[in-house]
Amino acid sequence: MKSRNRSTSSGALRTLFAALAVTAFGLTTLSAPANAAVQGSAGNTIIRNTVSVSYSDAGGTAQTAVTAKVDITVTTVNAAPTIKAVTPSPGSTGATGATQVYAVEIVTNSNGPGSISLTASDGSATNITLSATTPAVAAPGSVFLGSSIIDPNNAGFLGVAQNVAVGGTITFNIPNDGGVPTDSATTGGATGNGIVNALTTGDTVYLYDGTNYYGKFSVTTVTDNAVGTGGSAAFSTITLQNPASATLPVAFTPAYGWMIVEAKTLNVTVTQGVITTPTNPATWTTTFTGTMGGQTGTGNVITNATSGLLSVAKYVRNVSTAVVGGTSIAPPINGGGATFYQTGVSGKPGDIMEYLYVITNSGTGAVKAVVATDAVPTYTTLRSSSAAYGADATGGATGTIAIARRTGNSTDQAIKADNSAGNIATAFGKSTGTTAGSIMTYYLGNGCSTTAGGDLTAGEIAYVVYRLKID
Amino acid sequence: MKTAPPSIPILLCTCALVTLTALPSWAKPKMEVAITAGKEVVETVKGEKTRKSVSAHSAQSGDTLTFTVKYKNTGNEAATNAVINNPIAAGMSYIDNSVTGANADISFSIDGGKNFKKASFLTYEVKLPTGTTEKHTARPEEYTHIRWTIKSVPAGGSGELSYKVKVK
Repeated sequence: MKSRNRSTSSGALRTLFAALAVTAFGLTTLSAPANAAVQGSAGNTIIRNTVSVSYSDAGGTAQTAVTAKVDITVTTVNAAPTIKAVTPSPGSTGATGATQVYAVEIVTNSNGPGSISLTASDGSATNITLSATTPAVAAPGSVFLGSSIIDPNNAGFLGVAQNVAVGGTITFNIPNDGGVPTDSATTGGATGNGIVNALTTGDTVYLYDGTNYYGKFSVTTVTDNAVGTGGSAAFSTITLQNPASATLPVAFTPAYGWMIVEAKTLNVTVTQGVITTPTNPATWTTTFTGTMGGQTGTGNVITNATSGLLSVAKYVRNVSTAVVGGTSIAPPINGGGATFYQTGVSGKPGDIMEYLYVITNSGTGAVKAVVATDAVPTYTTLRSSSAAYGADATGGATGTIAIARRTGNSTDQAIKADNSAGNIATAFGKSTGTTAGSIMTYYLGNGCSTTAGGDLTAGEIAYVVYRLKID
Repeated sequence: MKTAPPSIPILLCTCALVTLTALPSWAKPKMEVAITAGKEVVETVKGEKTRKSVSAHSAQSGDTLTFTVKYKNTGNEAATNAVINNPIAAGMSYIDNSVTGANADISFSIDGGKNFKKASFLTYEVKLPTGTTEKHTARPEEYTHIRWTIKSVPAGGSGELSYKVKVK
């Protein structure tokens, strides 16, 4: 057993004394859980050891007792902080440049006050900004957190079940800090400044038994007493209130050595960068690292990114002489009815062949700047003014666009919007010529121009159709 | 009349002796006490590691500290029944068998200094829910006080007592 039980030897023990069986030398002890994670003594605690000597003279007459004392100050030990919560979890972003703000709550595990820095990192697809914090802290990316412990001098509380109602308070004695720390530095404080080990009114704290956290609580009062000249250093007090926002249990049975640890929340903005290799679902993990004196504690959060996932398939049909091939599609363009094939279509010189691209965004987010290029095949000539696919083409389903290249000149031109009941999507197209090897370029999707592609939102399909004549 | 004068010094002499013995309050024991804290550090001198005790002003959880109590009777009479009482400060726990004290009767308390007993006799009882009573021997870390009782410290006599604690 670790030392926590001896807590009961002074305070609660004496209370139990009456309640339980007591023998001539009877003392009752309670078993408190041994938690290796908590440090028994708060940093800056003044442990005063006072020795006294009473004696008599040779004749047996009692003489005035004499005393001597020595003070030891407990050192604050750096400890890996805990990333207590990241909200929301998981988060999500839209397309490139979209942001998600995470509230990252850090809790100290040190036995005393100290500065904790926060960093965040993830894959190359994102960039991260440490932004405004709640509450505001002096330096972005770092917080100064206080810590103390429940003092052994808490008779009536220790080992006795407590349940702090919403709005209710509980006051603990905590070790004297000698007035040394401020709310934001390990030195420079003064006795009576209302700050003990960087814990002060308005702070948010948890109670921690080494395994479980309780609270969180708001600090409403801190008395910062002078050490005094007594046999032991005078203790200070801290009053904790259960705010309506407590997220963890507020019913607990406190023991000597439980830590009272401060928590602060930093807001971290994650910005979605370009996802160079689209995948669905696109996710990444951001790791938050809190560091105190080289000791690190980490927490992760997953960000779900919406990402486009583009595929393209090419089909052909013989307009002049119908040829049935394999793997067919009957696209909902131009009133429908025409069937295109991926394989098995043949033609003879002079036949008109009609080519079809089907460009599908099967992802969860938009694809941007969609540009398709194709070359007029050898032994063919691009047809211009293909009457079958004019400005009056109809029949596209909602969310689709049907486009047809109508002219073979090399100037930019609008070629087709989809049927007006669906998304408004525009396409432009051009070709460097009509002879074999000419390059056809199509600017597709919402917001496209004669020089740049637009967006295809999730689920959208673009159809691109043009005609060739076999030489 | 040559015999009378010599009697005067004798009388004076007697007076002086009487005066000395008639004022016993001049002889008094006067105990003085001091306490210091030390911790052991490992020092490397010329490649040799040696353990050395240094004065401690600070400590951290888990450290072992040695408290040394020095007493001296600076009076001119023996001090009797000297009881040196040292509560084990909150935040520290006594380390078993670490106490020293020549010529002293050493006892401990687990109840805040109300009762003192030899370590092996320190027991407490717990009444279980079943109604039976269990007897436990106190663990060293449960000790709340150490007491040294010294029957007599002669005038000018001094001594040193010590014990070790672990910082919680």
